[in-house]
Amino acid sequence: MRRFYRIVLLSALVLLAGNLWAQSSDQLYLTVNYQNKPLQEVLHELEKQHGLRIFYQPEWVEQVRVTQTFEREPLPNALRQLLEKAQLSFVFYDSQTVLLVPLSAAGLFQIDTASTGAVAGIAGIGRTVTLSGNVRNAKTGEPFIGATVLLEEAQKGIVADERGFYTLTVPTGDYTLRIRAVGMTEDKRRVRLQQSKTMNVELFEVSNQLREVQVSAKAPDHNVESLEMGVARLSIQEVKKMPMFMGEVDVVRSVIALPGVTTVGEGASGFNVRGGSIDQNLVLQDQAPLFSSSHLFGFFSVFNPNMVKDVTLFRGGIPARYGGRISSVLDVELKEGNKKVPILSGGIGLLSSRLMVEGPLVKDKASFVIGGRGAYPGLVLRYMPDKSIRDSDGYFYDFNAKVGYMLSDKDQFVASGYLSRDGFRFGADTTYTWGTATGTVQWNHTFSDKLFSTVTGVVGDYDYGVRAETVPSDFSLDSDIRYKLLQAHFSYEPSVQHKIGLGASSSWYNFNPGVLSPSSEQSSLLAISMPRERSLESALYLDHEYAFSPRVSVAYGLRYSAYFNLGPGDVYVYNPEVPRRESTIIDTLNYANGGLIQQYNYLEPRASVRVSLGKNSSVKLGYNRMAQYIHLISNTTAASPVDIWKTSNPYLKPQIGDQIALGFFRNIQDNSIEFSAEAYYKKLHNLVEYKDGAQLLLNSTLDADLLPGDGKAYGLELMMRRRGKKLTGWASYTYSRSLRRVDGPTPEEKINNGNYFPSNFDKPHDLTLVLNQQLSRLVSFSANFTYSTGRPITYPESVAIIDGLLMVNYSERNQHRIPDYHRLDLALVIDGTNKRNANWVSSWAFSIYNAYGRQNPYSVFFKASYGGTVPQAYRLSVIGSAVPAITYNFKITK
Amino acid sequence: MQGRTRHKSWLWALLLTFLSLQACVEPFELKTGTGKRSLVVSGMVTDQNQPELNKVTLSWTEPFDGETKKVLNEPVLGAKVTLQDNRGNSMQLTEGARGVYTLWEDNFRVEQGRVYSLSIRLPDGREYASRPELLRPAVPIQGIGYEFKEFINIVRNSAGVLIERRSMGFEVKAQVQDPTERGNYYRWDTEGVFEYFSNVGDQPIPSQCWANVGSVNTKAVAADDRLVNGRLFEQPVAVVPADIPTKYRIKIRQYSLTAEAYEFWRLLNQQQSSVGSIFDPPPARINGNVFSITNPEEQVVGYFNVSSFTEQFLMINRSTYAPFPGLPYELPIGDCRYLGLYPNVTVERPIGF
Repeated sequence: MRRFYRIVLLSALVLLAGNLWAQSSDQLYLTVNYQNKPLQEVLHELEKQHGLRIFYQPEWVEQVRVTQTFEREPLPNALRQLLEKAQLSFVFYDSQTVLLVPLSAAGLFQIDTASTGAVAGIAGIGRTVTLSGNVRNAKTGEPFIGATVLLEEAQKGIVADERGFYTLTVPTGDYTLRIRAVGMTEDKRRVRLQQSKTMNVELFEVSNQLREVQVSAKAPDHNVESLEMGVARLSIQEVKKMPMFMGEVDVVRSVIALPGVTTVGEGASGFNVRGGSIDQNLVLQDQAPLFSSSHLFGFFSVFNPNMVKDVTLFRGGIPARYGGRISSVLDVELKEGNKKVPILSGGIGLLSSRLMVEGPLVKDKASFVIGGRGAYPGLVLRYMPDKSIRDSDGYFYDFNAKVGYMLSDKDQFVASGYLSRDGFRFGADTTYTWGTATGTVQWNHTFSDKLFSTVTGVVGDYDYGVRAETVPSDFSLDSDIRYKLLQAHFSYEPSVQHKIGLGASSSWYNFNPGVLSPSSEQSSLLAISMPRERSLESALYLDHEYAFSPRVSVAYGLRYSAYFNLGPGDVYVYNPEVPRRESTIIDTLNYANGGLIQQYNYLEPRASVRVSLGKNSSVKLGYNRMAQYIHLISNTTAASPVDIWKTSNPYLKPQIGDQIALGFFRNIQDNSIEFSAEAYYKKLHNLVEYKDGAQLLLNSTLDADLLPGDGKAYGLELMMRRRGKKLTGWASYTYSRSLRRVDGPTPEEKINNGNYFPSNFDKPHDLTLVLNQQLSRLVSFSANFTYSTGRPITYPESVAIIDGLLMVNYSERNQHRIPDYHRLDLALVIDGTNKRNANWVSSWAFSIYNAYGRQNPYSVFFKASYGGTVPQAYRLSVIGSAVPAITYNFKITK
Repeated sequence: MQGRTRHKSWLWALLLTFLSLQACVEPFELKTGTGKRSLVVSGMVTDQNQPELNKVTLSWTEPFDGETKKVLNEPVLGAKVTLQDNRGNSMQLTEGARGVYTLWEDNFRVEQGRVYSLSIRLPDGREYASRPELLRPAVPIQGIGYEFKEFINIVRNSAGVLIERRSMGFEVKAQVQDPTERGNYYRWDTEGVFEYFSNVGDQPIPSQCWANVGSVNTKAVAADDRLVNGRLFEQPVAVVPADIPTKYRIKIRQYSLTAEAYEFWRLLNQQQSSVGSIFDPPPARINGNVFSITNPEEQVVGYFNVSSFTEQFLMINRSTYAPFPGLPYELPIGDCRYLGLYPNVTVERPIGF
């Protein structure tokens, strides 16, 4: 019954948008005679005759019959009398809209018809009580992460944790409890707290669910109030709003629109955060690290948009529980299946289609979700005039599955699996394949209101390879990465002022950097197998958030990470006097199975301070250090999914990143406009750089071709966001630099004479506008505009003739820039219905990528033309025209 | 395996095309010349006394200038070029036309297993030297073969649209039996000689001639035995055009290289194969083995090779594959020696014809 009441209340709140008020309708008088008439019919009649809309649950009025006579009775009086028998009360939202409320619940409801303000809580003397509970999605039953729970009069708030759990300690009294979450209608209720209480709350999606735009943020004032810096959250609803490339909703592409995130160009896999390389981003999907985040080389991301719940990017202020990468953490969480009703949803696009089924396994307790996506670029390829393209074929698919089970009130079990595969065959000969398989199990346990634990286990496998079929150069080259990860996390919140996190994690890596095998007897290639690399990375961490006072709070943490490179394996000893080369090997050390080849350990401190400057603004200062023990080895401009990864060894030292950041945050207009300014300075050590012309594949002396580099990056990120209105979105401007330096002892071990040079993704100016305008209840229009400085490039300086052939002599690395990049994307989304309970919801999305057809140069390269005698520079644009696309999405609920 | 990156690059370019995104490659005028010219050293000496192979060309770099389409690199004249070995022998190279310095038969004392370096002295007094290079024995060519095949290139036509251009040609390959020990490096070049006829009517003038077009390589071709050690392997070297239906004699020379020289040629090949895609390594300067003694900061471009070589030739009777696509072949009219169509024309029947 309580739930029904809340349904009504919440539907009211949708319409009321926060402020509930009652009003008597003076214009309406009733003159009627009811004789044992079902109340439902009476209400129906009233609706019809007087143009009223009356909201209630049919169960409330079932079997209730009324016998009444009214003679010019004002409507409110008449209603009161009619509803008395059914134990119902009512509220006028406006002159035409009436909400019925059960009297049993009215105590909680306590609408003050006289004043619009909230009733002040009556503080008890000295005694404090705890209010705790779970916030869940009413429709799916999943816990709601990041819902803000606020006790208004106490001015205390908290954000529900990963299990939707919240707890607040306040003096006894009467309070207004408000619970808000992205894309959900707000729940507002009165509570009387005389003793500690548990209150579970279910939130409803806003009726027009596809329309709701909440750019990110946990709570309206989260950016000002929390200790977080450099953190951006995108809800999937928001990601789906942004204009799409080829109609594919893309998590990574929307992340690139955030300040501080850049990419070397279209089609490049991965992204660069605050001057870091792409392998310095920890990409997590349901806690499982992913080693490749792209499909079709780099055009699409691996996340199935139907399965994603929300996306968080930490580009600074990385909590101590994350480690192993030095630039950022992209945490993608998948949704749990609906615990109440089965739902089928999907989408059809030009390039790929999606299908997802979810539903309860045990009603309200266990649920499942299975989603798949497949692409069919081959369909398009078949119509290409070029024979070698016609013979080419490509595909990708991915599957996600997730099962959640509430074992008890205190225990929750979640298992999630992921499988993806990419293949691309060039002509009839060469095939590239890569794929990921991961499995995650997670067990959440609540010890008490104040202590929770999460234990996570992950197994993952990423394999990638190339195959060629033409004899006699047929071969297959396969590599893989296998890992296992175990993590335990405890969070303890002894009081409102303290929040303590403690945990440990351990990862086991087993890398195969490449096995070359001839595929036939006739093959002239050797069978070559690079030795496997094994290592163990463990960490312990502790963090503490402490609110000194409402004005000042601090968070500090320490992560201790230890890394062990283990045998079996051979390690070459190079002559330390001269640059490392194959010819300078003086000895080979053999390590037995499990033997310790090299150990590294680091203390990684993290700290932040927040000082509030009045109600709506704050200043934050943060520092963090991160260590990274595994590295992507790629000397091409953009990494390809088949580039190898390597673990640290005696020569390849862990990468270390130090970042210090200062931020100012201010919200205005009732938190609907957020303004932030963040400045950062970063130092990076032991970055992986390459000798010019290094051979990376199947190179047994690869360590001799790698050079350790230093990096520094700094920048200022300005951002303004608008939320909760018809026009939403953000505008951001970033000034940043990303520099590298390789200064070894000999000229061979230096790049650009040991001076700092811009990294491949150094783009000083970056301006991004992301806007969404609700045109009507069913139609929304969105636009993205992005402008950035062209990336650095090495230009030809002069030409020479060598052996009758033209040779170009290049300048020092990255001393020039390609022309500036700018692009506008547009999208129009039309929903078929906005009814909450419609069984079939569908939408059409039309988008144009690069609307004004800008030919943004990706690179400048040189080729000899006129028979190889004249040098000619060429400019390559990856996307040379506007790219329109159309996608159809649907959702069927039983 | 050597061509995988290149494949990947093409693959990527094709991917764009199939996405019908009109990835666009446009010529673009780039002028980055610094005005500072560097010395270019290109050449080699071999262990065989053939002056046409034992020579060094000295020139100056030209600023990169897409606009004027300048081809000529100014030669270095009046330099003194000397070859030394590790036994104190010194050999003088004699200046010829256009900055070519040749080691003539009389001065030739080059042997396998010795270490050679080149020293250069310019008329203005600047001195340069090459790092010592070991003359390694060459692995013999096992055989050469050819394959008549269609080549498809994706090119941009005059209207700016990407089109498929098909052409026929004879891909010539060298077969090599790599020795069992590791660390063999190879480079190949070619020499093409073909027969042609002209229509002379009843006139008593020659109508059958041969032209020597020199190297038909369009790219540097080099290989190592990293992935094929001890195996028999095949290396495509050049493409003989299928234009006129006559006999074509293609000679392949297979040179030995030092590891350092191989790096130079491999990087030059990589530069020539670049299509500017995201999977190409970023372009970088290719360092050679010549340095300045006078000013260590000064950059010198190019490589001085010391190689031994073996060669084989192959006669391709193109008429058996004719007619070739394109316009029907018609005999040119006049004395075949003075048509001006081909270089190095002779009426003396070369060996093999």
